[in-house]
Amino acid sequence: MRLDLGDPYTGLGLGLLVFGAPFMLYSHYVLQMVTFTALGMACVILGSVALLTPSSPVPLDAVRVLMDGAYVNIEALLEELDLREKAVYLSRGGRVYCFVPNGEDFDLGGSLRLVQDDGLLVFPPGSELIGLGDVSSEAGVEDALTSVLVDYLEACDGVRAVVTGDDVVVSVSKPVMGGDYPRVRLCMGSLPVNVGGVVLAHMLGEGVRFVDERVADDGVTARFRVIRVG
Amino acid sequence: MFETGFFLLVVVALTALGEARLEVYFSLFAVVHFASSALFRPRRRWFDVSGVGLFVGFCYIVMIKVLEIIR
Repeated sequence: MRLDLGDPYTGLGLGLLVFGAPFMLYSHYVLQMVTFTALGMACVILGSVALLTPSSPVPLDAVRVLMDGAYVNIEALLEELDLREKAVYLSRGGRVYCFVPNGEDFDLGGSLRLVQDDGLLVFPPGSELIGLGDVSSEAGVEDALTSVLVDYLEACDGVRAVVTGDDVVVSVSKPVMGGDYPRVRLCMGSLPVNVGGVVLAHMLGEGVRFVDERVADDGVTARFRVIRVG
Repeated sequence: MFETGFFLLVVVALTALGEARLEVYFSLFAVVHFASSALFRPRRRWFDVSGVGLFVGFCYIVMIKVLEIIR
C-alpha cells in the first residue's frame, strides 16, 4: 500500500490518528475518563478507516472489462493485417499512440494516419488512463507506473522500473492479465505491460519500443527500449 | 460519514446513560464499523486493518466476559 499525501482522506486519516492515539492514552492513563478515552478510540478507528479509503472510488471490474473489450478490436486488426513486429509507444500532443510496424524499417516521424505504408497506428486502451492517474512530469517513472497500474487501475500488486541507458525494465508483480489476446500480447504486451508502455512513453516523452515480456509465477517482466523520434 | 456520525452518537448516548465500561464503547464501535462496511462496501486500498483490530479486540472482550461467567 502506498500513501498519497495529497489525497484528502489520507490527510484526514493521519490527522485523526495523530490526534486520537495520544488523546486516548492520555485520557485513559492520566485523566482516567472513559468518555474521552472512547472519543480518542473513535478517532483512531476513523483515522485508520480514512487512511484505507481512497477518495476516488472507481468501479474497477467495469473499467477492466471495458479495457478488455477494447483489446478485441486491436487483436482483430493485428490479425487482419498480419502484424507481428513489436510496437512502439509514441507520445504526441499529450496522447500516447501505439505504432505496430509491418517490418524492421519504419518511419516514426510521419503523420498520424491510422493505416500507414509501414505499419498500423492504434490507440492503446490505457492511453486515456494517463489523464486520470497521477502522472505528472515531475514524478519518477516508477511512481507514475505505480500510480496508474496499482493505485488507479489495480491491475497488479506492485511495479518496479529500472532505467539503464536506453533500456527500461518494468517488473509487474501479481498482475491481472485480462483476456487472452495472443497477437496483442506478441506485439504490444499483456494488459499491465501495455499500460506500462503508455505511461513510459508519456513520462519519457519519446518513442518507447516494446522488446519482450517474460511471464513468471508471480509476475511479468517486460523490456522496453527508448527510441529517439526525430 | 455514516461511521463518523454513529461513532459520535455511540459516545454521546453511552455517556448520557452513564456508561463507564470502555469495553461497551469498543464493542459498539466494532458493531458500527462492521455494519457500515456491510452496508456501503467501501473500496479499500489494502485489507481492512481496522476491522481486523476491532474483531480481535471484540473477541478478546468476549473471551474475558465468558471467563468471568465460567468462574
